[in-house]
Amino acid sequence: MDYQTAISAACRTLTARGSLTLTTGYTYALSADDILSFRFEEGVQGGDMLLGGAVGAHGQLTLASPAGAWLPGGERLGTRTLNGAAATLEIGVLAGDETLYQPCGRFIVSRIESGEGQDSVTLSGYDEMVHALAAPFSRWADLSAAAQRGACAHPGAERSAPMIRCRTATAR
Amino acid sequence: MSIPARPDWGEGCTLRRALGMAAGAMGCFARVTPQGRIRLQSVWPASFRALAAGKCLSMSLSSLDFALNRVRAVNSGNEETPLAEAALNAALPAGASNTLELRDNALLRAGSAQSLTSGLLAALSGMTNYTL
Repeated sequence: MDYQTAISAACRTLTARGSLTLTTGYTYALSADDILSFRFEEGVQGGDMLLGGAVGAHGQLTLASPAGAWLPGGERLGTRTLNGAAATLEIGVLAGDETLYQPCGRFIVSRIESGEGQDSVTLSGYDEMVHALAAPFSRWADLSAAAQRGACAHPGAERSAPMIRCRTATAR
Repeated sequence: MSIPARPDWGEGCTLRRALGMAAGAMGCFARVTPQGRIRLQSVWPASFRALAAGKCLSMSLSSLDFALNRVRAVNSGNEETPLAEAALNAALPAGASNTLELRDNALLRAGSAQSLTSGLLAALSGMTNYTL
């Protein structure tokens, strides 16, 4: 059974997993036991057309944090910091004897919330659209480099949309 | 199509805004995929994935039908005089139900705006959105 079949079934068993990659490169693997909830919001309100839009998504992830495990000095976080970490989430669905996963979203942690005595911590932030492309535009090379970091693709090119040879714009 | 001269990107133009301008001129919008990659997505893709109403837990429908007839390039403060305009049926007045507007896009400048706008209309021809 493939993922599409399993996720489309009337009855299904879902799970989640993910990772937190710190700015140092250190990566935490997140299991379903770590993840209490997550959500992603993307798109526009009111049904406006997106032509020319550069849509940023917002993500939120709540982790189990028994005894302050994800707080500074806690069992999981220790002396590290979650600010700027890349949070990646996948949805899993049980398909026969195995669990199949697909990427669900990714965001950069910019806000960390946990009340005193709470056994959870909530991380939130925006995706790379907001962070990677916030710099002032001066050269096509900068835009190209930022886009290439995300392997910019254009699946609609086969529709013979009016193509722009960015090279000729020479906005240097 | 090529842009022979450097556009006036405006004061404080960010990489994100420049990407949006390029995307708009190509009939696209820009987003980040679930894998964290920047992607240009056509607003009228060549193929659609069907979503049956029976698969939805809840659904809200737009009250606005849309059938593309016209593409306009306008600059703020000068909306009544489009920089360029192309229509399948020029006799049909512009309106929210049939017109796409590219606003303040530095790539659409005198000399290139008309051909880009006409090309955009051709690329998005057939774009419709009807409520069920």
